[in-house]
Amino acid sequence: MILNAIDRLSKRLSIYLYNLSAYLTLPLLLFLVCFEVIMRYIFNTPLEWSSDVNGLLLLVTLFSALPHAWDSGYHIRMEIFYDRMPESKKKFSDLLSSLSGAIFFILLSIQSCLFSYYMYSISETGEDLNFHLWPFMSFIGICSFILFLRIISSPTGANTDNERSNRWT
Amino acid sequence: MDLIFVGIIGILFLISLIFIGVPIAFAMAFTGILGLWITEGPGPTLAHVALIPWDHGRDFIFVAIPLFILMGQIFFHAGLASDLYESLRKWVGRIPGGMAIASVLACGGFGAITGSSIATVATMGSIVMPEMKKYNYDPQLSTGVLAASGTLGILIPPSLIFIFYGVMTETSISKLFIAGIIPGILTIIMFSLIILIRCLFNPKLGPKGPKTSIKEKIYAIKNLGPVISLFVLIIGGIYLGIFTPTEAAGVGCIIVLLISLIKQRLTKRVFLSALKKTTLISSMIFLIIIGGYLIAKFLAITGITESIVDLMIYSEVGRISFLILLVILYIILGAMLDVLGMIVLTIPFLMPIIAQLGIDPIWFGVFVVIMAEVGLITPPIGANVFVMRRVAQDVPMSSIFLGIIPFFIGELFILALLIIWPEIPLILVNQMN
Repeated sequence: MILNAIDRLSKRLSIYLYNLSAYLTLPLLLFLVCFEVIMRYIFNTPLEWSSDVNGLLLLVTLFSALPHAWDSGYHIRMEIFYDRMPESKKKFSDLLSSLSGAIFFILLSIQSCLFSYYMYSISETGEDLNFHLWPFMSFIGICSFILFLRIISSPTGANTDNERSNRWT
Repeated sequence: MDLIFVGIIGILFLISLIFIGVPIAFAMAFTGILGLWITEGPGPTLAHVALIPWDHGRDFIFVAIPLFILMGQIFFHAGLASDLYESLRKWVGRIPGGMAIASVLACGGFGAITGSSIATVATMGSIVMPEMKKYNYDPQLSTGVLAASGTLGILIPPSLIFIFYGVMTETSISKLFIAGIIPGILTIIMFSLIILIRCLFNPKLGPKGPKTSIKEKIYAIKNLGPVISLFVLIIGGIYLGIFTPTEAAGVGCIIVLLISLIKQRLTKRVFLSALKKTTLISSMIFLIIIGGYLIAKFLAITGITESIVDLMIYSEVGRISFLILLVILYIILGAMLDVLGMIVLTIPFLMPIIAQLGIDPIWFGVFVVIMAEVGLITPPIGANVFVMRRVAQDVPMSSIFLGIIPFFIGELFILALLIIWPEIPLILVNQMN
């Protein structure tokens, strides 16, 4: 019951985050990189803050898509052995996969929250941009926590051949 | 406990996890965390866990990864590959095995833009296979050539694997791109020659294609223009120092968007599909790199890489013997692992050794990418072969693998050339602005 609720909630959140990265931050990243080139070569006015903003947009893009990548079977594994395993061994492999992933992401989530607090307390900003960085560190923590929830509520992620075959194309 | 012993246990643990089927990124991250926890304690470990993604996730060079993927995805989803093949077929289709040669050239062009061998095989396979069937091409030759030519995408710049290698080893991505040009052209020439010679000796393998008038040929150049101009703009811009790889990727995306718009292939669905796939692929690559950094950090603390270097020096393994050993290792790994997994698992160990042996890291990047190409067509995994099988369902897997053998030998021949004359990929690099 609780696990089902976690599953539904985390799945919905992971899709929101995925849409945020695909429809907002990635196009913004593309726009900003090109805008910087135009400003530098055509108007001879390089944007000093662009490197900072690009970095933060990239961070948001990558972390937003991570939870949904788990559900879409985008994580590479040694499929030649996994596919040939009997069901019982597959379950063991899935258990180990989810355990290793869950440990990594919960630690990342906790530590990001601790670092966010520290960054907030010292008012840490970017190098060229006077912009507080703690919300972005917190964002890593939130995305990692959602992925942690996805892993514990759906330990196998997506492992079917069909899902994997669409990885690149 | 002896740190080197901990390192060895860590490596064995990592290999076990990977063989059990744990995703490579998770296996590396988990082993890295465990190892760091044992060697450095919980405080520094937790700091590494958060700081590695934080530092590398904002790295400007990393922006090149999603942008190059996006460029390839737009090109792929807009279906621009068929124009490319058609134009090339009109030029070389009349020579023996001409359609197969056209497909090698088209795979080189398409692969260069998409940077993905799987996408190249899937796309070019579905375009070219029906044509080759129509003109009675030998199925073994046609499937073999497509599966092998699909690998060109990761060697001809801009290549995602070069970016991946550059990020992992902190090597100049611009130089890696330029270094990939000559080996890429050599591979295209080698594959084309293999087809031509085989078809000259046995014309039944690849009969001549339909006649094309001069007017049609000249008209066909129009369709080659976008790909050629994109390549020239990106690589020329990087070569002359006008763009960084990240900027070149951004400009490349805009050019592909414009080409798709002009050709009336850019729909909302095409653009959104490209964006969605790009974020997923990029995040997957990012996680592998993070896992790679964590495990590399752990191994650096144990000092195991230094021990391996000492062992290599002690056993007096020379450059050529070492590279031959690596060829064998990569063929074995390539038979079991994905390209990214293969690179991320070996690079932390190999970089100190190649530095010790005086091997240029740019040259080594080209070597690794060619080995990754070989891995993509090596049984039993040979990812390209599986994709080809899905496209040509009436051709048995064994036939595809047999069809690949001449190209596999061709790749090894190119590799031998690079080992004997290591300056080949560096000719253009040394003249860079």
